[in-house]
Amino acid sequence: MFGLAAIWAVLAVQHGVAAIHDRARDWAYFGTRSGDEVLPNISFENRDVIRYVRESTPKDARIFVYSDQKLFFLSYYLLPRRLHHRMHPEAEFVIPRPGQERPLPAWQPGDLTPAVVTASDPDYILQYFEGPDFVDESQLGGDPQWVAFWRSRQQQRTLPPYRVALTPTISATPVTSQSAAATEAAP
Amino acid sequence: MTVAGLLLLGVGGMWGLGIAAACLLLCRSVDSSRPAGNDLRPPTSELLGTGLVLGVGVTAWGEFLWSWAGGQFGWGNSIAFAGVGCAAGAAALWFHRLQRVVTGDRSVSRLAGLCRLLVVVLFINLLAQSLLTPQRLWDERAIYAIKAKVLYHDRTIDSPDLRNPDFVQYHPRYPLLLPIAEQHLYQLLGEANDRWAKIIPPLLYLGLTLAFAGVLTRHFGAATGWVFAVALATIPSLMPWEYGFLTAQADAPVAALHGLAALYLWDSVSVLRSQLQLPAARLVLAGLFAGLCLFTKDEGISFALAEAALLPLIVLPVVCHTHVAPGSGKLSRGCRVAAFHFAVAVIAAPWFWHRRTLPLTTEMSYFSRLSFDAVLAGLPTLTWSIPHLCQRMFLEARTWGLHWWGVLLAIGFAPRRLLSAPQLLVLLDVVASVAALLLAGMLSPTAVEEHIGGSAHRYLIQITPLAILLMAGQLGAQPQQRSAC
Repeated sequence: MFGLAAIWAVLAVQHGVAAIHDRARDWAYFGTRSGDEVLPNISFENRDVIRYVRESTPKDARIFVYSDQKLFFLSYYLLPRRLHHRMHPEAEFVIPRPGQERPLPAWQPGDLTPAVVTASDPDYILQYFEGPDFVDESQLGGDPQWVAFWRSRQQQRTLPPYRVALTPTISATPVTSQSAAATEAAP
Repeated sequence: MTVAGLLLLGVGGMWGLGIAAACLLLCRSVDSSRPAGNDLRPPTSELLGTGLVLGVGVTAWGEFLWSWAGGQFGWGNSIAFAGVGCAAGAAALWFHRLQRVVTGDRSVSRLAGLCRLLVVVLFINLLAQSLLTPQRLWDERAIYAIKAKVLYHDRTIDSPDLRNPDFVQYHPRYPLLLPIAEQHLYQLLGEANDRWAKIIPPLLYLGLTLAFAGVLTRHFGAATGWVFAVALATIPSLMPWEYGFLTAQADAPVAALHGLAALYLWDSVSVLRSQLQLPAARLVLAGLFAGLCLFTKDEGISFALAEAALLPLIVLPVVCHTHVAPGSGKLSRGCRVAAFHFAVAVIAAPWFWHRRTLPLTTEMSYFSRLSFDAVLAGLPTLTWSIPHLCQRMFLEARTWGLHWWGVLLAIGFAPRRLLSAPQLLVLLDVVASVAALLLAGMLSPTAVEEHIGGSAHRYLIQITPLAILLMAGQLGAQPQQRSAC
């Protein structure tokens, strides 16, 4: 028993030291910044889409999404905007893998009846597809505002490699980048 | 008021409410005529620890009831909870202080003193590490933090979005204890900064540790009690592993609540064995923790079901075979068992009533999948899941902790003691909990390698405190043994 207690203590110290080392590494990355600012532990693609939607929509926007992605982090970091998405039944229990290693089945515009979409009373329709089955090169430049946003962030002149298009519905009031920034800053 | 001040007020309110509730249940059964060693009086550490975990749970449950009855969350509501909690806690601590018997002997063994210091250092270390990062893990954001933010913005549990199957959130039917506790702090602070919500799990860690120290001190003396409390507090999978108390995911909070439910069941059955009385108030406390556990994560349902079934199975034979004076009522003492079930039902009923209205998207719905045929079809998964669990518990001890090896050694040290009613209860609780995980693997629509392989290490966190309880019960010296030393 004393042997067990000794190993127990050594193990606790070893893990404790490793954890402090990890937190020191984290501090360099996070500092005092909030999760909303850092958008931690999500893909670069998710981060760009979140920042684009934040810039392009008011805080109280309701957005219906067509996507082949699990959108939990988009939903979280876009709050108080509300994201609605009709999940494909075959994607419900699929655990995604990084880099499109396991593509998820998804609904595309036209697959769902208008009643499904209007039930969420959306102000915007967002299309966000990364999987090769859903990304047609001809559609990549479909949303010029997104292309401009992506190019300015990536400092590139090519088209984004994945498909994003944000379209206001009739009920939505258009948002300029200045008014979106003002909404973000509002308490 | 500054962020720190508001956080302190929020924590103080929760803690105070819990101390008041714990004092009501723990101190009312005090009988000063009891001989030393059989005293039911709670040590201060027990009152503080039990009060802290109970306070977080009762505050969230109280706010849930408030909203369920049509009230709105908001700054006023949260400040009222905090104010009432602080006042009630102060009054309860004053009452507890009056009740304490001053013996003049204020000596604490050096070992116990050292352990207390260690627990304080570990807690400060955990709190600092937890607050150094915002929320960043999958479940803590996709399940709990989303709900917390929606509750903060919509100010009600009846949010139309939380009831909409297309609103993007993971596990819409998952319980609301953590999200409501988080939004309680957000309302106080006036902003939904998820870093501050990470203060809750470290509080539960401290509460769990103090409560274990207190209850085990009552049974085995201060040195033993605090040594096992430190053993619990230094299990790597609980702390500092980043999926343990360092994160706002529900596994560690479930460990705290499940651990305390089992602790008070073990305590009640131990008291029954030694003093021929079943303390109903402690069974109520166990029931409250079991109820709050299922209000934290769905695994709590299987834990509560197992405990509800095991308790009468263990207690009733003890009651029936105990010689008591005529007229003292075996039947009424047997019926006291129902205090546990009653308390679970009080917490669970409103939650399950509300849960019916929530969507089923991405829910595994284990109970609706449960059938004889499904279990038969799932049997082959055991050939993968059982070895996998053994690997997690024993072969990966360097990563998760030595506690399961400790359990084996402790059983080997005093094998006959394992057959005593309290120890049997904890052992069967562990067995039932592991069986529930295996059953979930058999019924899940996801491949067992992904489902159990990706969750077993987190699930095992939830039963880790029971391993320490089993070890303490096997190795701790009884009062008569201690007095003989």
